[in-house]
Amino acid sequence: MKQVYIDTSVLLAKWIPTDPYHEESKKIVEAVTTQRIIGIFSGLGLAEASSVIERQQGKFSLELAPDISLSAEYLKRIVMIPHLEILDIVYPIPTVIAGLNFELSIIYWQSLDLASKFHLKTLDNLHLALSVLLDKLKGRTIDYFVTADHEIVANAHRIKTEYGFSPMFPDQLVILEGL
Amino acid sequence: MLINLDETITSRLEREDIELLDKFIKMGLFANRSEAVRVILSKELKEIAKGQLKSDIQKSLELKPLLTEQELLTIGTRLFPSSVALHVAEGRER
Repeated sequence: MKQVYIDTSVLLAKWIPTDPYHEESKKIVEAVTTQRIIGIFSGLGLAEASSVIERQQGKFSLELAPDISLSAEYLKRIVMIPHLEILDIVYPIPTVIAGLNFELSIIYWQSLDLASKFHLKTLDNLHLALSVLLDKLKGRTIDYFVTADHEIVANAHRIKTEYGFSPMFPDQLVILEGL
Repeated sequence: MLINLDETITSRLEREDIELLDKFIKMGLFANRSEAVRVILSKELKEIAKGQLKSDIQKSLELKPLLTEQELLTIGTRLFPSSVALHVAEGRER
């Protein structure tokens, strides 16, 4: 079964009918639920989803009961997706920079390497770093990194060559895996 | 898993706690007093740390969902008039 790292916007799109990948997101989540693919999400994704929901909520006036946190409601739905795995790697490792010793989480260390190679945004690097480390440290070889981020997909060939997994858009994954 | 044991500390314990520790060791829950104290202390420290982080959002997360899937779809349409990825990318630029 193929292991798929799901980027934040792709998963959130399941609850956003206006998103261009809404239908694909539903199919991907359905494939995770029925165990046709292994879906992997991250703590980083949860934090990012919470942030984008809260920021958007601040732009609109929604009539919600005061005890309801909208970002919490979306997060709950994400973690309730059957068989979706939420993984993280936060090992601190001893690091030396400019002769100074300190501890740095391995995900940041890996993202430094990615940043120097692909010139992507910070969170893009962190998501990719997690995908790389899941393979290196947990034996969870990622086959596909599904994202709606054009910059990541623009680097797909180089990322595949360097790290072994293919970044692609949701519609590409749906076609490729026949979801 | 390799554990770095950095430092030895001495602590006086109450008699009833020691008796309980020894009982758990006899039950096979821990190999010895040192391991028992290490494991229990580590677990308790993490709980205290978690308590320090407690916020309204974390309390909300512990509850069962209050909105239905359909309600989230309706709200989602209002929150994101277009692509979610655009807004996520905007956040990533920060």
